Amino acid sequence: MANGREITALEGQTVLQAFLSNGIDIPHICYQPNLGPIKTCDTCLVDVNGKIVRSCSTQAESGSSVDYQSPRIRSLQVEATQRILHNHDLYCTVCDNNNGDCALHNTVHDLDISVQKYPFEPKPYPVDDTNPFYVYDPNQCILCGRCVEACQDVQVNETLSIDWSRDRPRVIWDNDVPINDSSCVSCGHCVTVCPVNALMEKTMIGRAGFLTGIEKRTKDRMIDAVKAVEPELTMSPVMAISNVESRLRKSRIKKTKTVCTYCGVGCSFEMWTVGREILKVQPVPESPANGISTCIKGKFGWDFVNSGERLTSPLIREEGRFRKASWNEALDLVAEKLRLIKEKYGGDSIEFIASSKGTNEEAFLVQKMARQVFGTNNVDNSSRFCQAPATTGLWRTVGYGGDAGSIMDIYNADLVIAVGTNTAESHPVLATRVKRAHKLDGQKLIVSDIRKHEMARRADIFIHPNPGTDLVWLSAVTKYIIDQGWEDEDFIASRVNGFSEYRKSLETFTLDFAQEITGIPKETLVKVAETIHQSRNMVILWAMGVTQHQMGSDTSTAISNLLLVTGNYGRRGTGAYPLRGHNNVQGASDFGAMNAYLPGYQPVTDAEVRRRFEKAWGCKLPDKPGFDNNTCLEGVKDGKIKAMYVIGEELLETGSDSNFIQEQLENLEFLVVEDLFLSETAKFADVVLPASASLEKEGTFVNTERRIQRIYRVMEPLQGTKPDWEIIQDVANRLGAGWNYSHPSEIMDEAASLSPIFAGVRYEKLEGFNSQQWPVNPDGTDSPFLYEKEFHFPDGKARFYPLKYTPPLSLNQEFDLHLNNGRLMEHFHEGNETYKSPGIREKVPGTFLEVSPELAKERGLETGDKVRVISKWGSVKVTVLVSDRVTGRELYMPMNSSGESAINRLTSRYMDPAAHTPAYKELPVRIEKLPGKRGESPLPRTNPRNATPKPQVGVQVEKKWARKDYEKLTTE
Amino acid sequence: MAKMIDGIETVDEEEMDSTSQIVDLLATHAGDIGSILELIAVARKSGIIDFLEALLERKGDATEVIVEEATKEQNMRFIRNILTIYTLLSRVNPDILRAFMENAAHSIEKSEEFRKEGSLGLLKINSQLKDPDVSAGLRVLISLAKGFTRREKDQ
Repeated sequence: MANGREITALEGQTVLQAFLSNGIDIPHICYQPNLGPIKTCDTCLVDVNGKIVRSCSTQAESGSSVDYQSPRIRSLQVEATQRILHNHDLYCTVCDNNNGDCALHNTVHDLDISVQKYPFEPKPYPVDDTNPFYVYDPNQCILCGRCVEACQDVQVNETLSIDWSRDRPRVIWDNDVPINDSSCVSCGHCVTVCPVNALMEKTMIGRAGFLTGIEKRTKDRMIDAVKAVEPELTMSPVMAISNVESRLRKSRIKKTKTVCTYCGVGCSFEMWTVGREILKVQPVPESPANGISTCIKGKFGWDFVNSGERLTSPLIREEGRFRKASWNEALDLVAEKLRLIKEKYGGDSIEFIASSKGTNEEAFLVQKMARQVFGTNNVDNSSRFCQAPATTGLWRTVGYGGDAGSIMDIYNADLVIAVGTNTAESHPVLATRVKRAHKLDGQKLIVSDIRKHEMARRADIFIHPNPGTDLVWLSAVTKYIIDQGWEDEDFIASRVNGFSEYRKSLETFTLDFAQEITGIPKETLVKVAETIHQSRNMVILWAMGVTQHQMGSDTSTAISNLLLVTGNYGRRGTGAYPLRGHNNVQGASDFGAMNAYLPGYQPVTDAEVRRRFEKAWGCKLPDKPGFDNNTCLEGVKDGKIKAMYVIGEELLETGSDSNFIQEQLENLEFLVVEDLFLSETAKFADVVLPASASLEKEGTFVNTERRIQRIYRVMEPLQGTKPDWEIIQDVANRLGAGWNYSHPSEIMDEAASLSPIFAGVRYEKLEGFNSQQWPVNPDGTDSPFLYEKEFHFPDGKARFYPLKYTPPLSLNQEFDLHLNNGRLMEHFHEGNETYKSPGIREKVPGTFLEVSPELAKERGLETGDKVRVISKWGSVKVTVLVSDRVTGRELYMPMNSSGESAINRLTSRYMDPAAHTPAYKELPVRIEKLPGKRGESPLPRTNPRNATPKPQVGVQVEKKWARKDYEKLTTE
Repeated sequence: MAKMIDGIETVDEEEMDSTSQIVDLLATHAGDIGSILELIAVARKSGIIDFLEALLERKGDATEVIVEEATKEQNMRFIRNILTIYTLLSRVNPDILRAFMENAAHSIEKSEEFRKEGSLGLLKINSQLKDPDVSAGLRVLISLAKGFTRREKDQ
């Protein structure tokens, strides 16, 4: 009972949570749903059965009597708030945080506080504005600890803490260094959760309010004037004015939900804009994949949208130059050229490459244009370059080419095995869930990688196999588990086919063999097997470290085999999780931009499937798989492919062996590129069509969890650009397609009507932050978790898939070093978007070559030296960074570079025979030191990798309570 | 053989699409646009637009002047006194104040009649003090009189 009213609480809810879910607002400032109770502010005090307690941290119990609003309780809540005001200068009307969501402002207003009991007293610390993205103003900091909690235990970067020992406590970075010199990765968690204006995005400052942009000196005098009259005025009228101003801001600031385009995690958030100006990215608790989490790119990396380098007019190649042209002229030319090429060589002479960053609807239209208009299955997307082997491994064993569950299943697992994934850098937000579970909940973590990255450093067991040998240790561990009788017999007997044949195939994978091939000691492999055996629920994450090998499909299959042997499918907290790299690499494949599959993974070879599409589209469909976007390049060389239509893909630099690709682009008779920028690929085009960015259009993406999410139009398309789906429709209609889509939802309706796994997908069900995870039944029910009852095969049973080991490309006398490559947290791919952000450029200005200390010593290299890296297929010039993240003769080069230092100037045309994914990670090279003066470190001093974090659990509020000046308000 | 092109040459071409879109929009909303243009013309003639332009251009200066003026001691005193009166007025029951003001007005109107009643001796005052309304009124006046100096004494 609460002041005479009955309140119902769910199991495990605190009093505050129960009240909030019953629509009763108890004042609270430090509590935030994603952070849980922090217990610093004391504003949520209530009386529970005669004791004054914090409602945020007191469990709701049946039969309790709660007083939350009597004068006595109100006076305590007011007292707590008054104490906070001592630390915060109230100037709401000229504050950029006065947007209706300031927790302190709202609490002061709700508690009707009109006179400040403890006048504001400035803290003796200057504003820290050293970070390129955000500012910390100690004078506005109320020491609630939200930022610390978010940094320490949600993001788990472990940089922020509050120094409670000072006369005037404050938030500090690492061991009290300026923000820009700290280990802060600029993920923005702290800024997002700050309830006041102590931590604020620089893009907000002076821009959010009508009066916030006035000159500082004038603003300060204004504030002083108001403060001077406050004794007579009281705070009420001032609050009233600021409330009015706050309401007026609603017409000034537009808040639009969108989804990040920087990786496959699918972080959604509100983007705050004034016109085309981005004020901030604000994730909200209901963001399904990420909650309040973002990474540096998602929070701060959107400058590219307003870059002056955006294309704003179609370009036509003419006499060795690009001429600006009207849309009509460019589209007519594209249609005419493609028609002529089809007539001359047939539809199979044209390759269509859909964008893995575009929407599902756009991917659907690309494949529809290829198939319906040109009668070819030559259509694909960049999953070919990264994730196709993982999909192949899952198709072989469990049936669906997608993650078995959701990110929460990874969070809830007892054991996470991460193979060939630099999760903290490539999927930073997903990594936070693993880091948190590992730090706070006892989750075990095993990491297999050739590089000692952050996840490896955190792991309980870190194994470093020889490059390209993961299949061997995975199979050896699986065999050892079976040999020990630790396999899940019931699961295998009832839910999996082919065990005996599979078991036989493992005979060669002894621990001795594994030790010899992988270099991992037998004892370590036994320890891995024991850890798996002792864990109730296990998930395995993997990424490019597995898939970008010739054995990528087989190693992915070995992962799934191990999960099947141990019964780690079909229960929450278990399963296989290939981590998708692009925001819509999953969706582009799901919606049919694949050379062998129609939308919803329906094979083009299936006559019944084709008939259904032919009926809907009124055409005859080809029955044989077409060229994918990797082998099509050999198709160009062989004269089979004459034209290409590339949408938003930097094929030249993300495909393997750029020198080879460049030759093939030059050989094409006609190349069309749709892009935001004049990409390296576009420079070879005959026609370049300027596309709108994701923020300028509507549609849906599918993230790594198979989660379909809507994006809304944050701003109008940049003048002169068009969304890809409109461009594709314009081209198709010039060739007689007769399409009439007026909104992407109509495209989704068509896709849903033709693809059983999307049967119940509807825009209405995806409103706001709602989402659906495929397969979606006709009634709209979706599938957050797969295989609970059956696997996706006709008999409902999974399949073991026997494997053999094929060695990767090996080093030799000429090419004696192994070069690995991948992403850095700050950049996406070659960086054509992220380098447009000055802050990101400041943190990571370019690529580099990580060289182990022992190799550096052997070759006389130091950080800042220039070397030439040479492979059989090309060479690049790059700066050395000596780092213990790599060892021995293994090198690492981040892929964030374009032009002459692009990593794919070195890579080969070797590929996975099943999925045709290039073996980017099998790269023997040699290095030559270049003469010249040693330069600066390629990682600036202010890069967070150079600093040392300060781990602790939470904000350590007990230290606040132990202070002499803290007077307890509770009676616990 | 398509060789790489590194830059874009600017050639004057009619942006036909954009232009035709703008013409279409203008045609569709011709009436509304006409009204807005008339409004703008009137506003321009009256000087409002010039004023707003100046205000926006010199926003910082204008705000500075306002703050400058507002923070002068004399003006601050004025503001504080106004606010004090506001506090008084916001605390007093309007019904009582209304009755007081009506009585005051009534008394002023009767001032000529009071003159006819001659001088006010102690006996007359004494008899008037027996009226409870007069007593209460005097108490208020005495209490107010104390208020002017109480703060100094308390200190």
